Amino acid sequence: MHIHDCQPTLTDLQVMEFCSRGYLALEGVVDDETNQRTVEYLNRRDDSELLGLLTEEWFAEGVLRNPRAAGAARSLLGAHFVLPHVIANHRGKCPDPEPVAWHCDGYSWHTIELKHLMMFYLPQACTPDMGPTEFVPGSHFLGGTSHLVHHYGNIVGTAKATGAAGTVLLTEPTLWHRRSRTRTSGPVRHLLKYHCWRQSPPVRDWVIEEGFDPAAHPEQLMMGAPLSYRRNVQDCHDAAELFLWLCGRHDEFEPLGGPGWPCPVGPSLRQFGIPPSLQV
Amino acid sequence: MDRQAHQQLEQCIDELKEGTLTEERLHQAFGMAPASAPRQDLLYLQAVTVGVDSQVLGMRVLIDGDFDDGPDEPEDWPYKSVLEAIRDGWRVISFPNLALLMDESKTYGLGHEFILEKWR
Repeated sequence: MHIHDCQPTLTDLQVMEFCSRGYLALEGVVDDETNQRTVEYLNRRDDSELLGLLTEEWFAEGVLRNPRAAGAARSLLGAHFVLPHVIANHRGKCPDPEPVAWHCDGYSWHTIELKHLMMFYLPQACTPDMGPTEFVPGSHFLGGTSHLVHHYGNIVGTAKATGAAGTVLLTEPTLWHRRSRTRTSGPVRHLLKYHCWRQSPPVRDWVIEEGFDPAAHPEQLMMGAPLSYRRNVQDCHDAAELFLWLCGRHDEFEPLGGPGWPCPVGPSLRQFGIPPSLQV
Repeated sequence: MDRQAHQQLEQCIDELKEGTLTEERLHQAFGMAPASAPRQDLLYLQAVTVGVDSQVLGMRVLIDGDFDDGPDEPEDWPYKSVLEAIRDGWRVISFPNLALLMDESKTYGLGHEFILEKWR
């Protein structure tokens, strides 16, 4: 088991975005040399040899302990988080016109306790035509198993895991996802997936910007139309609860209803019901 | 039975009554019948509420035995509401299960799913 600690890099707003959407994309944070070496490694080996990648120092340094990617994981999982012991490559043929069915990964369950992160790494650039993995933002709050969502087709507001080479995505483990349709011919699309685990109790020790008032931004916790699949106040409620849990202040979560916090009400006087630890 | 086959049947009945129905005529009529049994198409629509006029959030269609997720962009989807699909000849065979919707804090799947059919 490899444990890592580093400086957290996410701000309150970024943590709130993760809470409401269930994922965060860090575009191009891994350097080009590491990306190219990773693609060469993957092209020369089959998936049974992937564990060797975790022991390559250049990969561990460039990806697993990458300051931006690891800093984001550290922000969400706390100090001394556990690095992956397995890694998978979701090789996507191009073309492959059949999308994979919607699902949430096995051995994950809906809870506000973020105990591990599902991380994705794109060692090469991925465009919408290459059949990227797509997510349903906010679906970490939607109950149900893979059996329930397997037959769904296209869904409003889905987000695609596209981006420059070196993009890393951090996702909540129960987020619905699938591989989308490919519309192009070309080399295999590599997508590495691994998990990191929490070891420390949650506490708000990420980047706290001077003068930032987290209670003044409840809209950041709301998905908003057309992305909300429920009454959007429910999205805000769940995201706020997750945010407070990550702050280590879940005991302060006592929503009062109506236009009280965290219901976003637009310009107003100071909102009622703000948890004590978030009051500036 | 489709319209064409029904018309053929009515004509054969008329000819039988007139005494002019022949073996050759029956072969001709059966030869125009559908070669296989009617097949069911299915349309899955997930909507914002249980109302058939509410906005569609997700779609998938089974046409002639093949699934299609529809256009990638929602603005290009063929139906923006269940009502539009009904007006286009689709028939609702499954309404959202209201028992799953009693607790607003718990949403299962996309919530309000309608299943519609057509026959070909």
